[in-house]
Amino acid sequence: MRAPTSSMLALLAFWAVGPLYLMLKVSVSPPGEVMTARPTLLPHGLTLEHWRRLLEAGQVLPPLGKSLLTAGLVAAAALLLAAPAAYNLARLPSRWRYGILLGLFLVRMLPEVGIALPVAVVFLRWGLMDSVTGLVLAHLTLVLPVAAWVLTTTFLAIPREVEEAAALDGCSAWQTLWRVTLRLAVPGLTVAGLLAWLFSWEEFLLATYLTLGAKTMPLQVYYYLYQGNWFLTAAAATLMTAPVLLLTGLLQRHLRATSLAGAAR
Amino acid sequence: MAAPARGGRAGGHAARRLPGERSLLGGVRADRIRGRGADPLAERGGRRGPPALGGAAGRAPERPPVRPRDLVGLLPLALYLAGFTVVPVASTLALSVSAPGGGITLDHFRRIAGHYQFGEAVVNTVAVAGIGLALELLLGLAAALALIGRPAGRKSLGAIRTPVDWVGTRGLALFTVAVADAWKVTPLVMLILLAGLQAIPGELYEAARTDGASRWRQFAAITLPLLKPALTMALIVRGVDAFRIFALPLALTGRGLPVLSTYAYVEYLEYGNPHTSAASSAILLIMILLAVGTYLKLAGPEEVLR
Repeated sequence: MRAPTSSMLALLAFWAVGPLYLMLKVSVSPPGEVMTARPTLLPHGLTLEHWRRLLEAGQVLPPLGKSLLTAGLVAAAALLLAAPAAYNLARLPSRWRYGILLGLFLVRMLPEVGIALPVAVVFLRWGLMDSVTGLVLAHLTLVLPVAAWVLTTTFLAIPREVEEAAALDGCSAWQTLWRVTLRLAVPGLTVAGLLAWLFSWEEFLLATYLTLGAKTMPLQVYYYLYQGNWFLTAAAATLMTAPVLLLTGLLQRHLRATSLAGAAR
Repeated sequence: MAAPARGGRAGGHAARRLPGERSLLGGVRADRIRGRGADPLAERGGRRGPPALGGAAGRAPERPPVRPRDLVGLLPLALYLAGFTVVPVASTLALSVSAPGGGITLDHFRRIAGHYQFGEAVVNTVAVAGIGLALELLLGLAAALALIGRPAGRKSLGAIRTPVDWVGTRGLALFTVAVADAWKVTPLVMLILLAGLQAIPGELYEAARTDGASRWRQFAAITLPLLKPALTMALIVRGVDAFRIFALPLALTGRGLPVLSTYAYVEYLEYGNPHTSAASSAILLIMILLAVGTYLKLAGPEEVLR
């Protein structure tokens, strides 16, 4: 690899990891080290005081639990709803497929503030404010178009000949679907599920509209930020980042650049 | 070779028309395979009936009409999105023009138009989207090129270093929010562009090198034009998101930098006025539609969904 390329990559890595490092660093730094005119980049002192205060106050674990449950359910529901749709989409004539995908894209374009307002009004009536159910229902609206899009790309990439071969070997339609098609679709399903999870995990706007008391993790982090406490904010934000890194790390081997590119849509 | 292929296709069509055929797969293919044995036409072509050939015929341009059962899997998704997305947005639009006592009015729009924070929100939304998109595309392209090791003009990278010479807190806040947004989504842009770059055949670069084209020339004459679909994709997807930016301005500046989303949020949740909130949501929707529509018109719609 030529020198300019690798230095470019190093720069990019720094750009990507830098803020995460600062977040972690602030969360374990003595206040005097950060609240100065010239904060240092490298840590000097080390303290777990902020983490102790964060966890002992007991305000952060309920939001963490609520967000974990919501994101898990959103990912599962997104796959259940989007996979059959994507399977059909991939088998439709391309004119139909692109028409429907364009429709999904148009739905994704709609501003969340316009969706959140009436949904909040209705959920208030239905008693769904502060509930995980309400939040999952709301998050799905924004996740489904993307999940369907990713999964359509996935199913399109599975050659029909494979399914035909399975059928010729005596597999029933369900067996073919379960043992062949879905197995082959695992990378795409992983990406779609992960994206749905990530989206729900960090979603802020809908959660704000649909929350009266029981906060989600992003709202809790925002609460610390609003209080002006940098250290609790940094610690809570680190706590919120950890599951993301863990999950992406665990699913790493299923992720491929190509399927992620479809995901980016 | 042409005749048997046609025969195979005809057999496929006949098989598909057999009554009582059911496929849980919802696809045409399973029908055809199981129908083959029962169909005389397919029988005749049976000895050269490897699945691969059937597959080739299935990709032929002439396709059977789409039947309702091919769309069954789409139904839950469509109903869900209609109920939880299209209906709410429609009711927001209705809310934005409905008078409290009944009837239609444009008062809410007049009211927000007279609100200085609203004008600021419109300008901020466009500015943050513009700066953010420029940064994301430049950085995303640089990253994708670095990863794939393709020639890039150094000039394009130099643009990143161009200092933004705005002064004043608002300019600084705009820039901060845009940079934060770029930090968050540049990897996504990079992935879209990387997929686009991987689709460019390497032979083109070899040929260009043989002809003595400079690296910058290769970039301008091969990479950029062939990357246009991916760039269009990235621009539209990210552009729509950038207009809807919400959490970053709120978290980084509090009320310091109103954008349309946060304006709508404050109007509803803090001033308790759903009508003005809906009106600013409607303006945001119109801005998004205008931006996407203009870009599609310029870029050509066929570029978008490839």
